[in-house]
Amino acid sequence: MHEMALTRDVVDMVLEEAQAAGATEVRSVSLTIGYVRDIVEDLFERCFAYLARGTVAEHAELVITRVPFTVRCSACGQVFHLDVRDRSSWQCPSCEAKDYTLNSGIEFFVNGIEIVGSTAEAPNRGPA
Amino acid sequence: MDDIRTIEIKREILADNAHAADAFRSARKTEGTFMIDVMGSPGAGKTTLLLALIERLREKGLPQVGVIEADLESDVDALKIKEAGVASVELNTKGTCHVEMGMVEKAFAAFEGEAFDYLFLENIGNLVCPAEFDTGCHTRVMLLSVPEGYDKVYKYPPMFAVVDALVVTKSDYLPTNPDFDMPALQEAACALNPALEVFVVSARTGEGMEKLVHWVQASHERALA
Repeated sequence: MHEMALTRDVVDMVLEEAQAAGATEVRSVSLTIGYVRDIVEDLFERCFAYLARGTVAEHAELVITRVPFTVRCSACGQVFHLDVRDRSSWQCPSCEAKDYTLNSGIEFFVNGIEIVGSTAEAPNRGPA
Repeated sequence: MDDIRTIEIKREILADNAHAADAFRSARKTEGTFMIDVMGSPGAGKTTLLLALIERLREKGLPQVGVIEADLESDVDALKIKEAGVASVELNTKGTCHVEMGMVEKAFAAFEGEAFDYLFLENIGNLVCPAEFDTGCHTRVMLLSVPEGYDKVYKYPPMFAVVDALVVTKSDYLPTNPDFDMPALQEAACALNPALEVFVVSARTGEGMEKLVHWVQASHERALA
């Protein structure tokens, strides 16, 4: 149940960026979350809705992209998916080496937000 | 007029915690303090292992040792540590399932400038949440006790993937737990994390403790070099 603590960071970040962009509404928030991050998406969404109530992000939809746990072979550089429950995935599919380092799966960031805002405040925008 | 547009952000969640953790880690290094995050389920034997570890570290010299005892409530563990003559501070998270940098900084300040060679953070008893948060330590260790079962590695893989060492505790229970498949645990844990160091110990009988103490001392030297 650490979703609340993590969502707090996300809401703060989203509101800061939304304000800087002059948003009147945040329609969606796109997040990238690695497999190693033990996040219950449903709970994450509910925590977000709770913490964002009364703000421009109150009705924002969370679009979550999960990144699989992959490793990079130390011998040949091949990147492959590793599943702790599937023994056959514990070695490089190309060269069968068993030495590898983490490649992906710990990501945890806000990609971007979709906002509704006044065109006048949009930066670098030419005449309509 | 209003329009809809997408803004790219690409910002790390927990970046503030990570920055605070880096600063804290670096400050402790400058002071010569090696800090170890000790994680594991409630009942994995964290306090007992710490007491056994500290006793052995003290036999090998006279290091200054401190313990930050994190629990949801109470000062039961902090008192146990204090009774052994070790400086300790209680960090009550008031129900929060993990420890974050703000809490660590506050607990550390309660030592009022005391200098340590080794500072242990006994994290909240939990096999899931603590792994998510950088606590500013130099190394992270997780405990898994024999009575918990070897299959935790399949059920709770994230912590195994991010720690530096796995300490299998209560090895004196191995004879009465024939189902505990040690080779399978080691294989799966090292598949998740090939750099993982694995120790099998019993704080009660002393089995495996010597090897663990050596690793802690060597990690201390490496981290502060």
